[in-house]
Amino acid sequence: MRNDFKLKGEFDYGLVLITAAILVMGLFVVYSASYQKLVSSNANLAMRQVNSAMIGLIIAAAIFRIGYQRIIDFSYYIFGLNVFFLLLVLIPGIGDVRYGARRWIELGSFAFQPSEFAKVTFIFALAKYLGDVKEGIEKLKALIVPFAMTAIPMLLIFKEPDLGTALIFIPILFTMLLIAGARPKYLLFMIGSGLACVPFLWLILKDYQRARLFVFLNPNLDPLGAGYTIIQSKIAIGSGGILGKGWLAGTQNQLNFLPERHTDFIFSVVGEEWGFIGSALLLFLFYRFVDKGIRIAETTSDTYGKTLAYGITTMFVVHVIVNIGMVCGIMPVVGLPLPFVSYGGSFLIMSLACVGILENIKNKRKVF
Amino acid sequence: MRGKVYSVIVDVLFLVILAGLFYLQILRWPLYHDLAKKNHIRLIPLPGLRGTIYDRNGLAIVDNRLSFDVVIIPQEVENVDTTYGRLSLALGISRSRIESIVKKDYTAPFAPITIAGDVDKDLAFRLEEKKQELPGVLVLPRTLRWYIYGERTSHLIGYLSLINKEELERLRDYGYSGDDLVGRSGIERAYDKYLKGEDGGTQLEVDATGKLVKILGNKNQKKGTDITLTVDAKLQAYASDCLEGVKGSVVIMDPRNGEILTMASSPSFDSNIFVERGKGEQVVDYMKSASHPMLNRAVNGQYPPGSIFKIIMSDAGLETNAITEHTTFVCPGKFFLGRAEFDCWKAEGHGPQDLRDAITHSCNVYFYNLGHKLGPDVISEYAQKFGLGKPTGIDIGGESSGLVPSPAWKKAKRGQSWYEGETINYAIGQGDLLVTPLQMVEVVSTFATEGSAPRPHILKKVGSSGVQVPRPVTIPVSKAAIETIKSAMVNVVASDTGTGQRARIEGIKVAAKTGTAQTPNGEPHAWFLGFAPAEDPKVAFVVMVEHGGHGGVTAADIAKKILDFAKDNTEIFK
Repeated sequence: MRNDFKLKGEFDYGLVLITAAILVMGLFVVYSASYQKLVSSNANLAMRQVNSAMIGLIIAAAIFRIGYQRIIDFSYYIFGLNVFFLLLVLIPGIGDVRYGARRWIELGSFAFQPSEFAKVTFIFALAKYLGDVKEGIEKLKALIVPFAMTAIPMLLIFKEPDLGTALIFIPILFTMLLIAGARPKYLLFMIGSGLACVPFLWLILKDYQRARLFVFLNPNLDPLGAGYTIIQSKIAIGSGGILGKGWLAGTQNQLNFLPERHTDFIFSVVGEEWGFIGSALLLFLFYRFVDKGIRIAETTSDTYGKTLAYGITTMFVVHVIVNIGMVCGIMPVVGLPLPFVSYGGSFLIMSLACVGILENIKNKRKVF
Repeated sequence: MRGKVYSVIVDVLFLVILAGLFYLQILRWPLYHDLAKKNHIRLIPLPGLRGTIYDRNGLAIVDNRLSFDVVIIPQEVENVDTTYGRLSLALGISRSRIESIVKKDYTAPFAPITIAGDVDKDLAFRLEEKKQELPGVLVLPRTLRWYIYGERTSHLIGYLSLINKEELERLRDYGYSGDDLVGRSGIERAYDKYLKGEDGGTQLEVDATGKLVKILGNKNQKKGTDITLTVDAKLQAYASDCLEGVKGSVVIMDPRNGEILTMASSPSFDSNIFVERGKGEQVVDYMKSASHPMLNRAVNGQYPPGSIFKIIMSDAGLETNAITEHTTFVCPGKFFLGRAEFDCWKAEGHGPQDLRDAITHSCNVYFYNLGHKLGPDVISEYAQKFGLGKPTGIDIGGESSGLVPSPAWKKAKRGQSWYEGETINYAIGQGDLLVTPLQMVEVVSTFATEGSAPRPHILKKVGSSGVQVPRPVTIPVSKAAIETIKSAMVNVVASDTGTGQRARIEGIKVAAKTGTAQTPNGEPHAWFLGFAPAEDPKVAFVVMVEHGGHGGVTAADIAKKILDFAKDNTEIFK
């Protein structure tokens, strides 16, 4: 029934242009963040990022060709497979430990993080469920399945541990439920009871996660330990001023004061070297990107496509807001990368694939 | 409707972030601009020198020497090609090697990378002269711990290595930091607290490109306290040379006060290797070597004593009145216990022997008879009385205890009964009995002093003040018994039938006992212990050669060489 309508082949060139602009800006920043005089080995991080972008583009094009509706049909199986991989990661000997967390799976020379893909496969599975139940979502018991679908990957990712990626499931879930028509009073009740559980959550946090929350409240607690990154990152951004210090000229960046600056803290390099002008421009590009996502979602009448587009858009919103918020010191450090900018293959590929999905939703929408 | 709410929330979130950026980058820019500048202050650590170690005559055994490292400061290098090319030429290492060192050790643009450590002084000066032509290349002076006698004092002095995490936790409050070298064995470890220097540092301001602007502050480093040892460096070095090519050890002690004059162990290692850069492979070789060069055989080598144990047996016999000095046993070359046969080393037998004869000739059958009379409990009681089976308490620590067996010990440890045959072996220092060379020097000192057991130690002075040395322990012995044994020990060397006659020294009367301890595999261990001069002992000595054959030959020859050297080249006998 879904495919019976005549489809108009619309394509959102704006979205692609915005994505390309952010991506290119990101490559320059990654290059600067990994640039070191005399040492060439790190400079190719930008090159590797280009490679990941190529793979991401191919996957995005493939997804665009396949169409989201067909993926929706298989989304439970894909989600199930992803959960299986999340389990595998936790098994010592299969999961690869980096920076004290078990997040990677190695396939030959290629390592990937199943948790990055879990976000999207989860969104697909939830969109399928919401599209299937339609108005039924207004009932309280219809909320059981979505919550179970959220809890399983969340707990597994939490166990890795990767607090940021685990928490992102929550806003995505609520946005999609709300858009699909769930009753706000039920959702508020859920949030209320969720908050009541926070003290218990505190008990299962890892020591370093608790330290990060404490230090978020007062970075000066531990200026050379957990608070160091936040303080140095704020100094980097703040010292950028209006115009910035120039590309490859950020002293905080180039003199190694910033840890993790090519991954989660990449925005501090933007702030330092490109100033307020550069960071506001990047923020604006993200805003336009998100805006495009919302428009695509709003103009889609198909519940599957609409919830899917909202889920993806929310994921980007959370990534952007939490990431920039944490490097500016207005959010706790939870380790969410900045889309298209932070160095990291799995997340870049996944982000580009999401753009492909958004374009496909726009392309397949019913024309009135 | 719900979409609208969502859009508004997103708008607000982006505005909050934008406001945050505005606040940080525009309103608070002056503050962060300053803070970023302050980040340009760095600390260059100046490690405090360790104290010098002197021998008893004031000769330096361990000192510090200046070495020169060639380093690169990445930020300041202008032309990478010419810099690498000329460095490669000057240092004689390949370009690719330099590149790989830089790649491996790079931490920050301003942090020096050591390309070559401890280079030749002339080369260092030549490079320093060309400083202007090679920006970014520096010659940095560094002091290295210098073990002047190399392999010849290593076990005694020990070595240094980087402090480990666990030690750091423990010692942080005492001023230790992450890249400190700490003593790992011997004197360097035992007296680390005196020897350790106090680190200083220089605070520098560097500009935004990492170049030096000015020196902000300086805290001078402090050298650790010098210490003086009881050791005679010349004698120590000579004794080490005498052990060249064999496995074994030599310990020489002043029996009057427990001052260790020499403690040599072979094979040895070079303490210098541990402080020089890029010698890691050699360290691994030491650790892996089958001949265990890191083992201090003088305190950790545990061996059956063989016939040198007979001096304790004799004392036990006399003091328990099991024998008198005139008691005679006939040695037919064999001793029978039931159907078991125990041989004397001399197959044709020694004939009738009294105690002095038996010690002089090291007659096994005499001591088989004596042991049979005494029983294992009395033997182990006397072994323990002379300090066997427990550490001597020497100040460098880490000693092995050896082992004094007894029927009770065997029951408890192995759950087996004691066999009578074991007593027979026990009587000639075989079986499960194990001793260290240091324990034996302690035993022979107690004979030399007629019952006053000195406390072995190596530290003589800290700075210029002498250290309090524990008083010798008085061991209740019968003077008459000890004198009988001492006179027999003089015969061991002086008599033409004595087993130790090769160790005669012109002008000095040596009292000694040989030992040839059987081992399950290979040649027996050769022992030779004694004291000299016999009438007024100034040195007590033990020479032990693993699988060295006859104690009266291999070990006695080494003892003779060392005593001759001590007489001619040191103050010890004066």
